[in-house]
Amino acid sequence: MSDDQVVPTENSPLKETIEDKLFLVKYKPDKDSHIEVDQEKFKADTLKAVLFICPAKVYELNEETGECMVAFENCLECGTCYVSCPEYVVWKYPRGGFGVQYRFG
Amino acid sequence: MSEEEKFDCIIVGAGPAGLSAAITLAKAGVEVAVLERGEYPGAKNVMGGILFTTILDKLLPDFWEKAPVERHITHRRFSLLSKDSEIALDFKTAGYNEPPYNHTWSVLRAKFDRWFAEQVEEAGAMIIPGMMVSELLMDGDRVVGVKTEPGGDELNCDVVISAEGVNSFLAEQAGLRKQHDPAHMAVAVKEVISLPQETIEDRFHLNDSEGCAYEIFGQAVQGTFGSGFVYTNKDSLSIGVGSTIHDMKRHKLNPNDVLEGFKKHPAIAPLVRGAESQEYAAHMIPEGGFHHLPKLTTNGLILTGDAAGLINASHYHEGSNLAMASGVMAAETVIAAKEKGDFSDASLSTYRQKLDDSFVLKDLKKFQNLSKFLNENPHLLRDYPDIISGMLKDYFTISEKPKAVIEKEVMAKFKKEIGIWNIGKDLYKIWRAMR
Repeated sequence: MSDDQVVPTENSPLKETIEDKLFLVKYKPDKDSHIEVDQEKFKADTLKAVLFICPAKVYELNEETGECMVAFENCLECGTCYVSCPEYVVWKYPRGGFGVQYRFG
Repeated sequence: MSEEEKFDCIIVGAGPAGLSAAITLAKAGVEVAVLERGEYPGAKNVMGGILFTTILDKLLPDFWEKAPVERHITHRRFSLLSKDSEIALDFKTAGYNEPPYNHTWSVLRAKFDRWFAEQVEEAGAMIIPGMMVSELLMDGDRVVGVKTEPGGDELNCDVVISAEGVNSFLAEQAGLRKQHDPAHMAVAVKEVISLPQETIEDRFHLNDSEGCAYEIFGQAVQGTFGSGFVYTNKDSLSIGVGSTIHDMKRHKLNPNDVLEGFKKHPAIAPLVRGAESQEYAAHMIPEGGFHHLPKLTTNGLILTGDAAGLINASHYHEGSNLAMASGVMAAETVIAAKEKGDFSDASLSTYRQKLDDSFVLKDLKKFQNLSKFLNENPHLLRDYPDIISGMLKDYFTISEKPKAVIEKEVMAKFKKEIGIWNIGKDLYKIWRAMR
């Protein structure tokens, strides 16, 4: 058996959770958010699809205030949020040069 | 550049559409600038990973000798997953091993687009990365330039080619499209996972630089209207899933959960075993097709690629080469408009005619009813995989029952669960939708 043979381990390098996967993604974060949520309309929505549909889990419910928290710096810039919830998500591109920087794409 | 000076043409976005337009214009001596919001061309660009290259080969002959392409595809596979089974149509040929390699390559877009942009710059186009176009500058109903961020600079030109991608905010500003419809927009997530080159070639039965493309339907995406894919790169796999936002929303699904379900399916798990995640990406795909195209031109503006909705969302999953074709045709339209000195909508509308006369819109037209049909018949992707694989399982189950009895039982089950009439009707409808 040669030394460079791949040894299978318990800790699979194949990631499963969004959190683990986002660690692999390179970003150049801007200081201001490129995403705005109309909180009143968000609260009025019963489905709140933006909380489950975002591939990067950018949107999270603040249980105390009922408001939507936005981790804009994790955004993968797909646009799914405003297409699924156009009533209260205003999504724009980050400013030029900022945001996600895919190495493979 | 002084304030009075202006470009002949500004292209928004350095993807396949924008770069193809730029190189065509630069070769014709048109003064062109490509504005790219990524820090480098490719930084924002994502696709599944198969590039068809009939257009690219015309723009940059024998590109494969220098371009960072991964593998030429000799092996196509389409399959249906049920919960625990897979039914596949599998085709491979050594006949695709000669130039031009059937014009089918796996690529990683961040690497490929960066290289493509370098070739376009060498041809004389100016590419300005790190510049996001926030809005179109208007003079009445005429597009006369763009405003950029950061900085708020205004750049003037005779005509803008929007190659800004699927979100197409400029098309919306110009009134060329309505709000995106979740039923006609897919969200796809993808991982690039690395494996040793030799493992990939052994695992996927590939010689040397051959590659394969697996398109997988049914339980790959939990029976929703979409599909999964596995493509081989040199020393990595591109694996992902995509479904309409409408379906994801209706079933309360997260795209990554669908991807993880796909990776763990017994037919897929052995393909990814031991691999290491390298990158995770998300992207939307405009799947409205021929019926839901935006208006493609207005005074001083042409839409190309994803911004124009030019995706063949059938089993071909074609987009990037349609983008390249549209970029070339937009450039040809601009060259003709420049000769006439007329950048009005009437002058630019020959672009639509060019697309109509080419494979781009002929193909979209051919499959125009497929998406509507599958949306209206969700049982095809949801129920059929389970029923058909159940029948095959019974058929191949070894027992001491006489084969004649087994065949009879399988037929009886088929008649009960689907019915001759229903399958005939569905097959007819599929044929009609693909015609």
